[in-house]
Amino acid sequence: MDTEAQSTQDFSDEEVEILQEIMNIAFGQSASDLAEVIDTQVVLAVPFIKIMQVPELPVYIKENVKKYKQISIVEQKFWGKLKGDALLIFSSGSGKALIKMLQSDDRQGMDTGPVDILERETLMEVGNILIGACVGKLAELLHDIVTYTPPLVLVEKEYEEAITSGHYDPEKTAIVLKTDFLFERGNVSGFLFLVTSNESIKWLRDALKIFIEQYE
Amino acid sequence: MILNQIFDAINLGIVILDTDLKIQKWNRWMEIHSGIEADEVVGKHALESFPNLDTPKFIRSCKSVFSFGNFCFFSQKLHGYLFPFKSSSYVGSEFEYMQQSCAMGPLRDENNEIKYLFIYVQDVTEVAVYEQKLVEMNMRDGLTGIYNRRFMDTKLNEEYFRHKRYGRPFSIVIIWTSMRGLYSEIGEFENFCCYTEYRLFVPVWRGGILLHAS
Repeated sequence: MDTEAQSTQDFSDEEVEILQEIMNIAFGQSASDLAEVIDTQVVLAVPFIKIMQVPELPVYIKENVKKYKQISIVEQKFWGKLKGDALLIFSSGSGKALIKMLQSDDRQGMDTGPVDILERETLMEVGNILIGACVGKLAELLHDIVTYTPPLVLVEKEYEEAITSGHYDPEKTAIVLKTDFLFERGNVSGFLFLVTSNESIKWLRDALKIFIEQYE
Repeated sequence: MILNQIFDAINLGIVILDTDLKIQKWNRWMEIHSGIEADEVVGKHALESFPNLDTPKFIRSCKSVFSFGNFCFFSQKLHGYLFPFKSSSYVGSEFEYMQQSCAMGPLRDENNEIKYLFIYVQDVTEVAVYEQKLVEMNMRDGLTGIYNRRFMDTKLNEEYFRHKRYGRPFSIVIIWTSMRGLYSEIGEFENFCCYTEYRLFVPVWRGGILLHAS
């Protein structure tokens, strides 16, 4: 096991707890701001944190999303001192539900555009806002600034096909932050996974220490 | 000083808006392609200067940049363009306006507070023209120029989901015509002409599509 992986394994229970609390605060703030931006309440569940070897990740994600069968995924990389991948997994039919939800304002464009492009773009837009809200708030609390790659989207695939294990580095360890979300309007739900790379771990540990020191 | 030179020399449009959505910066690229000098737009409200920006998507995106520090992306495929700049230099282009791929993101001050947002505008007309040609080639019969079976399948699927989404009535009328009859009357030599001319005489009603179903 390399040093980095070793250091991740040493992530203490207390640190995990602090991270979980920060995520909770961040997601709470995001939810209220999201309501203003996309005009619907988004319920974000208490986040759950798990540390695992990267090869275990696809199995873990599949296990969580298998109830949906068909899924759409928005993937976005973020980098700052906190670096990693955000995977937003929507239940089947979410794209169309989101189009419908947003259409009262955008009807003209929605009515004429090809549905597949519209669905893709809507998932991308909402995914981008949701990921940005969660990652951005988390980074803000830890005094970091992150930037993002354009989101990639995979629309309505069998979950077995959609989540592959090919591009994960087997040497690495990931901190997986999982939360489930539900849009009050439109019956849209899914999971958000933030997979932070182990390059961020040393910084993350220091940032958590600084964060908790404010309250001691 | 150096950054200002890059700002004006770069082959990208860059616009900076403040939290009231007033234009603060307008680079040389934007001046050239819009025909509007920076002095004319700086200080003006972006939505007043460009009423087509006054859409829920654009406003949502601005809010999310100022609230979360998000980056937002406006793809050419769905939006076509953000800023309506006349497209004149692309031979064979059917686009009236320059096709643009745009993104916006936050700009922070020394205290890390988001004070401005930037929008960059990339001219992707050439790529869009090629893509349009590829789609055309993929959807039309090479000989006659009429739509092929693939187009029908795609269109049916699209319209069916549109119907499901809006709950509007959905009906299909298929008039099956045989080209063979026309062949035998006109003869082998004139087949090519027959196909092409036939296209002109078929009464295609509004919304109707003539295609090869086989």
